[in-house]
Amino acid sequence: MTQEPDRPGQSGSVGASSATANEAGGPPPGPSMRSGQTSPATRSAIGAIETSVAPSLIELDHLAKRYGPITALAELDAKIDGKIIGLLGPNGAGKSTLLKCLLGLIPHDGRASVLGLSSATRGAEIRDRVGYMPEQEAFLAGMSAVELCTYAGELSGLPRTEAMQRAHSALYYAGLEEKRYQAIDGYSTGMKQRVKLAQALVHDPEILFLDEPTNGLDPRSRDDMLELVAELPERRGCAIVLSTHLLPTSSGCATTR
Amino acid sequence: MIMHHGKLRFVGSIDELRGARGADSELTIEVKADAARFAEVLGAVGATCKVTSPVVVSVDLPANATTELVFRTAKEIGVQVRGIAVRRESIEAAFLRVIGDAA
Repeated sequence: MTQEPDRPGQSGSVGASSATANEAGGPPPGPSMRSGQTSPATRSAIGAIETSVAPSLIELDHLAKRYGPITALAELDAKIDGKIIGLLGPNGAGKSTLLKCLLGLIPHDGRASVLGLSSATRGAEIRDRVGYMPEQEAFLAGMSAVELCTYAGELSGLPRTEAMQRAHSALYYAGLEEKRYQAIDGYSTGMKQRVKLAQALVHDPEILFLDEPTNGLDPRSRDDMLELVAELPERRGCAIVLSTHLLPTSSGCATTR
Repeated sequence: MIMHHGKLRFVGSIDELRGARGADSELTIEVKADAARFAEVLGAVGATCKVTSPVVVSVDLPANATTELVFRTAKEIGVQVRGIAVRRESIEAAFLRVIGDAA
């Protein structure tokens, strides 16, 4: 017997085994820790070595990013902690650039760290511990949701079997269990947003960066997505950084919990 | 967090955002009657007042003043204070205030 994967609106319950669940189209199991993943104790030790005191989730120290004459980020300084962190600003404010700098995806000036890890030098380790839901569509043509999420899990270092189990679990959480074998190309905008959320969750991250997760959604889908997001800290144990230019999205999520 | 033009404009909670104007000196006061006269007298001692209904006054206290000024003034002119609350901005107004000077 294995623990049924966590899902919004449901209390944890005991479900079927992995094979039985998948054959029956039911919920798959959700392993608590992947192979080779660092334990919380090890993570704490790494954090202690890195900074000697408990690090903030995110620390910015004169973080700057310029594209030629354009200043995208101007000497940002902050220490940020919390369970649901809204990153709010108009289009072009620098929100997506900040997230990409934090993930170590683009070079920058100054210093930034996530979970005590330097974005400049330990980006890969950060991405092992942070889930990222990008603003743009990032799908491979012809792939189903299960295939994409499994692939994302493998890219994070999970063995294929475990990646597939986690993909089923993440898609179940995101409410896509019935459509998970269909090609993403045929999905609605709302379903595509849910797939992006699922692929960000597949490696059981400690923090989730969500870049404009409600873009293109109608009001009801937007509310559904925000409910899903707001429950993540409690259900999945991860902190949320929610980037949006929509005030109701940020305040709605932050005030849900 | 609120960003604008590549800069961090605000870091804090929503409550802090809405109360970031030094809100303890910005009050909404409900009186039994005669809000206009109450506002006039408070204005004479340095407060900035706006009468929003016959029984409600929006008050910005002068520097270093406390609610003691409100109650003392009310007692002096015989106005009955029925309610007093720290005035809070809407999230929308607070957001616009934070980014407004650079918008």
